[in-house]
This record gives sequence, structure tokens and C-alpha cells, in this order.
Amino acid sequence: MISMVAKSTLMKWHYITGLILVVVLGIHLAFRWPSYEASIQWSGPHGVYEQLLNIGYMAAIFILLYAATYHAMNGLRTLLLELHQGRYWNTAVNVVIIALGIFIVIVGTVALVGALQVI
Amino acid sequence: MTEKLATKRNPPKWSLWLRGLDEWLLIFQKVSGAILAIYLIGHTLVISTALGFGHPSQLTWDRVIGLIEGPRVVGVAHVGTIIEYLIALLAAVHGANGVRLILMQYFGLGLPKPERRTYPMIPSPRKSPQLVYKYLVIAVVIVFIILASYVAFVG
Repeated sequence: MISMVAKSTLMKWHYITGLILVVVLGIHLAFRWPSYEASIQWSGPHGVYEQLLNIGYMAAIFILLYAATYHAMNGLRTLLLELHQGRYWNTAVNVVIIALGIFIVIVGTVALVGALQVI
Repeated sequence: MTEKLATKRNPPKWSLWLRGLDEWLLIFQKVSGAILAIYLIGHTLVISTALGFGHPSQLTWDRVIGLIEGPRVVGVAHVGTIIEYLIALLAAVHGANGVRLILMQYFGLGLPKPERRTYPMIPSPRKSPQLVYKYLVIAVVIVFIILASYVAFVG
């Protein structure tokens, strides 16, 4: 399954998504300024409703969701394959990681696209 | 008859891995990555639930986030605020150290040139380009701690 892709390609994308994450996670954290508590309230000038209306921020959130999921799942996969090796273990790790990644992407995309359509 | 040579097998030792800052930083990168990956799953599920899985409303958001944030502990900060603060700090160190590792391992920047071994020998992780990277990581993390502390506990 995952062996169709070269390991070096997976790691190259791990590094690329890592660099992308520095930017988009930086944007995500910058939107907590000047108050974390104010930024998680629904209403208010820095609230969640205003964040959902900001197209640039929402684009960053979509990129964050996909880049973070790839980076995290590939990182977990690498970690688990370093801890233990074996034919069945490797297949099980790959299958679980891909399923988990697809699950996170679907849940996140449904929530974000739905929120954008309603707002 | 040939004598069997007595060979002593040396098992790998933890001290081989845990002898310097570089090894500790690599282990930190892996452990913090695992924690952040688990957090990503939880964060996506919580925020998606708070956004009503595509049907957002203030009522759902306030109920879910109120439950997750928990009671107030210090100033304006709730239990959830402190957890988020610690996770953000972990992400900042992971990110700053990760950029250092990418520059070194993928782009090969800051790696020392091969040279003749002369006394006194300086191990490559202690040579200036790699030390500069580590000082930059520390500087970035200190700036992040100051800004994040203000946002979480003062702002």
C-alpha cells in the first residue's frame, strides 16, 4: 500500500509540510493575540465568528489541517516502525495510520466546509 | 586445531545515545512529535464537535468549549488555557528544533567540512555553525514564551 511510494519521497514531504506548518501554525497562533480567552469566545472583535468570516485565515486553517495531518501521521508511522519491525507490524501500522489520517481529514473538512457554508 | 577466539559481545548501551545535547534533542523531537500528533486528533475532534460538524451555532460552541476549558485557575486562565499553553510551547520547541534539523539533515547547511584530525579535536556538534543553530532555537523559544505567556495569562 504505502510501499508504492518511496520512503525518501515520504520524508521529503515530511520536511516540506514541516516548513509549511511553521507558517500556517504561526498564523493560527497569531490569531490568539491579544487574548487567548477572547479568541475562543464565539462573538467579539477577535472571536470565532470573526475568524470564520476571514477568508485568508480560513485558507490557512485548511492548509494547516492537511499539512498537520500528513506531518503527524508520517511522523507517528516513522516512530512506530523504528520501535518495532516485522511484516505484519509494518502493514498494520501503515493501514492504521492511513485510516486515522483519512478520518481526521474527513472530520475536519466536513466541520470547516459546513461552517463556511452556514456563515 | 584452531582455537576459538574469545570474543566479547558488547550490547548497545543507552549511554551511546544519551551522551550529548544532539541526541537529547533528537529524542525530544520524536517524543514531542508523538504528543503533538495525539493532540492533533483530539483538537480536530473537539473543534469539529464545537462547530457542530458543519452546523455551527453559538450554543453548541459555548457548551463544548465551556466543558473543555474547565474551571478558572489563574487570573483569566482556565485549565484548558494552561493545557493549550503547554501544547503551544511544545509545538514551538518542536518547530524551531525541526527547522534546525531540516536545514542540517536535508539541506546540509552548517555541517563542518572534512578536515585533518588534530589535537585538540572539537566534536562537530560543538562547532560554531551548529552552535549558532541551537542558540537561535533557544532565542525563538524565549520570544515565544514571552508572547504566549502574555496571550494566555495577561491579555
